[in-house]
Amino acid sequence: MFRRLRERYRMSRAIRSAIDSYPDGICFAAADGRPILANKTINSVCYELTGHTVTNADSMWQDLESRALPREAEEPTQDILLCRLRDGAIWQFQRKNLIIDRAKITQFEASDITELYHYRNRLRENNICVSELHDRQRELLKNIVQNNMDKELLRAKMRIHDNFGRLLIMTENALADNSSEMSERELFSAWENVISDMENAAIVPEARDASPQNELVQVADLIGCRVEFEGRQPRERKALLLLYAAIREALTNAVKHAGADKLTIIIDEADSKYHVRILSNGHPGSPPIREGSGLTNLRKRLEQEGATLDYRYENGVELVLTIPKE
Amino acid sequence: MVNVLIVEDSRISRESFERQLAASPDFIVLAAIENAANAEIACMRNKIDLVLMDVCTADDESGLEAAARIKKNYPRVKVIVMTSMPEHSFLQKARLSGCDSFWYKEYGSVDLIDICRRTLSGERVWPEETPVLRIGLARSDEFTDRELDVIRTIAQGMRYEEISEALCMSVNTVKYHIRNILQKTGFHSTVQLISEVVEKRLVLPKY
Repeated sequence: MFRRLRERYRMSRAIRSAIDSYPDGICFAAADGRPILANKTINSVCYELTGHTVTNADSMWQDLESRALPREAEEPTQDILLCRLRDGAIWQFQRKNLIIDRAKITQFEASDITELYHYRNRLRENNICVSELHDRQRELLKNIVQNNMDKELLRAKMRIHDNFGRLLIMTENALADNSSEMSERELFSAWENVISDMENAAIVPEARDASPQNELVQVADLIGCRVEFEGRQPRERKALLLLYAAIREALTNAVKHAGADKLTIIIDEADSKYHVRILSNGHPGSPPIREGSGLTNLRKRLEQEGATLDYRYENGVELVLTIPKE
Repeated sequence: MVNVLIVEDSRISRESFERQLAASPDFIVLAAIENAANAEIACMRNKIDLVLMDVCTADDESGLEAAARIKKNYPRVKVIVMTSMPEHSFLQKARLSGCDSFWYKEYGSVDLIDICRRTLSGERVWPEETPVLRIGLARSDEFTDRELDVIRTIAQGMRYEEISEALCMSVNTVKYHIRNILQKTGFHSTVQLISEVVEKRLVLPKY
């Protein structure tokens, strides 16, 4: 009996010594918070943070919670706390529930994660920087085409300036010396070209037609099809571009497959949407419509922007669109 | 007589091309438009024989895509792609879509009327290479095709994982290419690299 007691005492000293030599803090507590086993590290860290060693694990956890560093959004778990000691060291406390021999045991672990914490903060800052850089890169790319157009315009103006200067000198020479290599007619023609160039270049920035209507009507005329609009066209650029993508597709199909020479676009506004009907005077096809790649691509593009495409059969095929204003 | 369609979004350039063609008796400019999306419609009913197609056109419409559609649906129409952008992939895309000729508006030595006539006579007039630019310490022709693909995807704002997926290569290979590119150019970051390639128009991913 005495030997068994001595054996048990030696065993418990060995466990105590092993757990104390564990570099992190560890504590096992019963369901009511009573500590069963706690090593020196967790006691000393808790003492520094709360002013007492682990006497009740549950109240220790509550104490630590009130002193914990604010939790980041990406750390949703309630069972991990981070606390800062007076010397700046960061300790992580973790709580886990265990079942041992049907008894509920809570395990508390405390680890010094100072270095990891600083790395994590640096990583977070770097990620923010990278994300900002990506945004800037995207922005840069968005503007570049416009910048290039501006550059092209500038170069064209410089060319006109050069031509103008050269022509002035040639005119001066021609006036001073009748044997100039350029005839009067050539000089006049060169002046006409430079003046025409200057008239165009004077429009800065280039006046772009706000509506794509004129150009579409121009190409439709070229292939012998009249395009007529009823109702007010969208003022929102995105809606306008979607509308014209649909008109182009309808025009192509009406001329190619139905021999149409007139296309009518009727636009109504209601419920923050444009309701559009596109009809042609081509020969009526027989329903249902088999969508080719053009209509399929158009449908995809429209649906990506929250618009819809449908068909109606009344003396021919009618494209019916709804396009959101925003 | 040759019926010509000009697609060019710069009004000055457009009217300058119109004037040059009008001065030549064998060309008639039927339309000069700024949006490539309208070009295919203009080619219907056999009205157009030759299209001069800019790459970057109004409303961000790609002239290369429009040219591909025209060559597919109206193969008899001759298409000359023209650009002032030294973007390395434009030449390849134009070739793949079956365009007949390619003209660098600012870099080439070929005259517009000359290239039109040669193209109409069946010749395919192509520059031998894209204009060579200096990107940091490197010349643009020192980049491999794969490196240019990587540059293009970075310029689109993709992250390493997205690039790896888009180009079917491992993240480590992406990093390897980026390291090589930075070594060649002498740049310290991809931001420096991208601002330079985009500024010099070596890549324009939208088109």
